[in-house]
Amino acid sequence: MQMMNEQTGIPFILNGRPVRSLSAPGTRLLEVLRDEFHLTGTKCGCKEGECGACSVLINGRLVTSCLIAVGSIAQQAVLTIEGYRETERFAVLDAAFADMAAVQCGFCTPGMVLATEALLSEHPHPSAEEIRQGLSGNLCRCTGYQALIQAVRTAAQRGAGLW
Amino acid sequence: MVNSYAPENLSEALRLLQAGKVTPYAGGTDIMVHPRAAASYLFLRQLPELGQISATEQFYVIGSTVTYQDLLTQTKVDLPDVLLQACRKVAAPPIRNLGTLGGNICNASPAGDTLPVLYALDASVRLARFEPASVNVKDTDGSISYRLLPLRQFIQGVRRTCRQPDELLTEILIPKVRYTLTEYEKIAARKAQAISKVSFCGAAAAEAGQLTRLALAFGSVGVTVVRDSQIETAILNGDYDIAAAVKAYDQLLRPITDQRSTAGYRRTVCLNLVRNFLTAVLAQTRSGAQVTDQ
Repeated sequence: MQMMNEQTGIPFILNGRPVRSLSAPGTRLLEVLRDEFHLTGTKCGCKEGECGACSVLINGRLVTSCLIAVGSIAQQAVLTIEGYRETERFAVLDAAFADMAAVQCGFCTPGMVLATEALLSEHPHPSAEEIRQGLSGNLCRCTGYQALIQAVRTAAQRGAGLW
Repeated sequence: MVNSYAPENLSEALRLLQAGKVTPYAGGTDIMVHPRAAASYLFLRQLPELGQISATEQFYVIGSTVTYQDLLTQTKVDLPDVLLQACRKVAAPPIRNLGTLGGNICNASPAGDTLPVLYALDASVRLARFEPASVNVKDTDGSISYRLLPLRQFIQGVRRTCRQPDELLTEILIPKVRYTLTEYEKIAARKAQAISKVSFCGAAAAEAGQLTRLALAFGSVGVTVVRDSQIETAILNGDYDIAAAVKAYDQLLRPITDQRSTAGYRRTVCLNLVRNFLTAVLAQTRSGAQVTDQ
């Protein structure tokens, strides 16, 4: 049994490095990432799991970090956009999103990129419907989604073999 | 400073629950909408006992911390398709990766997406508590006791269940019944990330041109999911035709107007769903067709 509080801290893996959060175990992972570890690429949009701007990967699975108590992820591996930025896959997504004009204000983009990573990991060659499903937890108020769908499709073509 | 706990097994979790004021935390997707900084949580997701999916001769057995995504991706057990249909309608992938079947039940929202299915399929829940050893027994430090009760009895009202503070919901049991027609509908403002205005599950079985089983369950139109066995029996016995059945549900259902929908819209949709489902069921029964739905 593991007992946790602000003194014991909560150990987890953040972007490949072991860290220890000293926040209360009930604190939103979103706030731990932004305020304690100063990783502000993860955005706070709604704090109720509606918008997907705070999406991160935990053990490779897409989750909304606003709905996760940091204590619930002890020992697990969190990947934020800052960690993902170092990967070859990110470079493909970065170029595809830019080329297809899938980024406007940029607020939803970190979540969209990680949702795309989760999608392509599961379906390297997704259908239009699978793309819509994969991004269905992420809201974008700028692009009208069509450019995002194009970007994912483009990335899947260009990145053949990477996923 | 408040402590939270990540127990390693069920017995440890139940002892912590009995010892003090800890809040069971499964997927967290409902709890964390209104987080309490001073809360002491009992994190359950790592407990091996609660994360299993299996089947016995009579039941599908689903651990309470199994997520919607687990249900959709597992290949071990041939779960009822109508339950999977409901899981696909829950929120979107990030929430389906976190939210659990046990959480949907214990949160006891009338709009819980899987609840109409679980009501229609006559699901039961198993609850566990720790029984301390009596003073006379020196060799053991206690044991786990279980009780099993129908979901319809477990959920008592809006966000109200009869779970005792020292109990954990460990498993959901769904009887293995062969239905010839099942249907799940969720009516909401959009496909993803929406809370239902109305949800509906119908399940029926016909044999040799005879309707042998019928269950109709409605979500988001009452303080709990609504099912009425008297009306179902009357339809089964042939006492009600479709028009009479629709009229009976018109009298039974008492939907309200809130931020998501109006009472009138909800009522109309429910009655249309009943009419459509019963029409399909009776057509199938008459034709004697044995379309296997699960």
